[in-house]
Amino acid sequence: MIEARQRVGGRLRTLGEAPLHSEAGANLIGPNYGRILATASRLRVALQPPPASLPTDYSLRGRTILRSEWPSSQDNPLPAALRQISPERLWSSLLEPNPLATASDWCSPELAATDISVMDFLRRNEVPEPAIALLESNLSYGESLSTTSLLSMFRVRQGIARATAFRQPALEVRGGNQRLPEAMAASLSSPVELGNRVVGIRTSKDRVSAELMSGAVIDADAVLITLPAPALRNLRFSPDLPEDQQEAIQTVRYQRVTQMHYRVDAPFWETTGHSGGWWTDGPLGRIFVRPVQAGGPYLLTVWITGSACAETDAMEDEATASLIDRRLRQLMPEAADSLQPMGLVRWQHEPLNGGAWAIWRPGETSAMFRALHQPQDRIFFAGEHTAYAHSGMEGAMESAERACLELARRFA
Amino acid sequence: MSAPRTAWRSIACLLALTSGTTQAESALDGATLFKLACQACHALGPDTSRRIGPRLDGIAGRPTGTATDYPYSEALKRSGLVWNRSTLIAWIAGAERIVPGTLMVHHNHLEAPEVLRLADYLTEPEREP
Repeated sequence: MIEARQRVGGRLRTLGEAPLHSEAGANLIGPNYGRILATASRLRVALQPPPASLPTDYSLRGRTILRSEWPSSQDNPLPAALRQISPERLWSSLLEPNPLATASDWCSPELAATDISVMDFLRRNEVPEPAIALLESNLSYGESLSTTSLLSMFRVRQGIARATAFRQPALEVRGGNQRLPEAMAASLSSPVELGNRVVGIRTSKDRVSAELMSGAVIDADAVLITLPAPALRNLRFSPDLPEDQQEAIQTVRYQRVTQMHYRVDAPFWETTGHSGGWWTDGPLGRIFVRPVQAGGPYLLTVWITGSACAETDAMEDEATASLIDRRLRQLMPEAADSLQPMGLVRWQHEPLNGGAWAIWRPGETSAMFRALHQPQDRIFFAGEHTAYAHSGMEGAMESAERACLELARRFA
Repeated sequence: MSAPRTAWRSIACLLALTSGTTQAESALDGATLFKLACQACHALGPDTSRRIGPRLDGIAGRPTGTATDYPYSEALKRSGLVWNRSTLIAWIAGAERIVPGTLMVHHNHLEAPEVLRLADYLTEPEREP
C-alpha cells in the first residue's frame, strides 16, 4: 500500500492533540455506517457520541438576528408561510417530494433524464426569491444552485433521512477520527509506504506497474487506486484509459471548503446573549462551536464553502487566516482575545485531494459517475466519489467493498 | 397480493431468467460472496461480533423482522414476507424496492448468478444456528 502523504487517512484529518482536537475532514460516523462501525469494533477503536454543537444565531446582510427572534425579526426576509423556518432548515422544507426510492436511485440511468439543476426545480416550484437567496448561501454540495444536480441534492436529503431513521446518535472516534485509518494501517501485515507518490500506471499483458516519483517501479498483479479525481488527473496511464473515463476524471468537480479552526477557553458569546454558532449569508459562511467537554474549552470552526471560497483562494495562507480572523472579530467583537487559532485548512488547495468531496452538476450523476470507476483489466478504482449508496467515509468503505468484489472476480 | 410480494416475485423471476446470460460468469462461491458483500454488516456462524445488521444464521423459513434482539424497521416487521431463496434473491437485488422504509441502505453490486449463489449459501441447512 502506497501513500503519497507522510500520514494515512486522506480526508480523515484531525488537527491538534486530544482532547483539544478539531476535525478538518470527515466529522461524524453516521449511525448507519455499518462498515465503519464494524471496522472500529474489530480494531478496538473506541467511539463516542460527540458533544452537541451549540445552536446558531443568524447574520444576514450584516445584521444580527438572534435565533429566538428569527420568526418575528424584521430582518427575516422570508414570506409569511416560511418565516418560522430557519435558514439551515429550508432545504428539508423546500426540496420535497424526494423521488428517490432507493439509496442508489440518484445515479440510476432511468432517472438521469430527470436531472435538472436545483435552481430549475426551485423556480418550477415557485419558491420565493428570498428563500432561494438563502439556499444559495452556504452550499455544501455545489458551487451554485444553477450548477448543482437536483438528484445529487435529493441523495443528500435521503441520506440524512436514512441516518435519522436509525434513531441512534452519530459517533466520533475518541481522540480524533484520524485514529481510525491509523489503526487500519497498523493492522496491515506490511506497513503503508508513506511519502511515496505514484506518477504513472503501466499495464502489460500479465502485470501492472506503478511508477513512483522516486523513479522506483512496483510490479503487481493488479492496482487499486483510491485517489480522488483531481489527484488522478496527475497520473499517466499506459495504455490510456478509455475516453469516457478520462473525460469523467477531468470533468468531475470537488467541493471547495475553507476552514479556520480555533480553540476558545471561555464562552464569550454568553456575555452578549448569543448562542455561540452562526449562520451567515456573508463571507464567513457558517461558524460551528462545540464544547470539548461540559463547560469548555470549546472548538470553533469557520466553515466557508463553494463559491464563497473564491475570494481567498488566490491569497496566501497567512493573508487568508488574517482576513477570516478580522471578519470573525467584527462579527463577534466580544471575542476579544479569546480566539486561539489552531489552523487553516483549504481542501481545494490540497493537490492530493482538490476539494472536500465530489459534487455533481446536472446530468453528471449517471454515465459520468459510472465511468469514473470502471475497472480496466488490472486497474481498479475506489473512493467516496465512486460510492453508490453511501457518502463520506462509509461511501469510501462501500466503494472498497465493490472494488474488492471486482478484484476477486478478476483473479478467481 | 401486496405490493412487496409482487415486487419480490418480479425481481426474483428476472434474476432467474438472466442467471445464465452474463458474459464471463463469476466463479466466486457463496461463502466468498458473503464475505465480500455482506460480512461488513451481518455476522454468521462462529463470528460472534456485533454488526449493524442482524445475524443471518437460520434465516431460511424465518418471517422477516423477527430475529430476536434486533431493532428492525416497522416496514420490515410488517412486510409479511418469509425469508426463503426467492425472497432473499429479491432482497439482495434491491432491498428497498421490496420493503420501502427498510433501514438497510444498500446497492447490489453482485451479478445475477452471484445473487443466486449467495441466496443458496444463506439458505443451506449448514447455516442453521
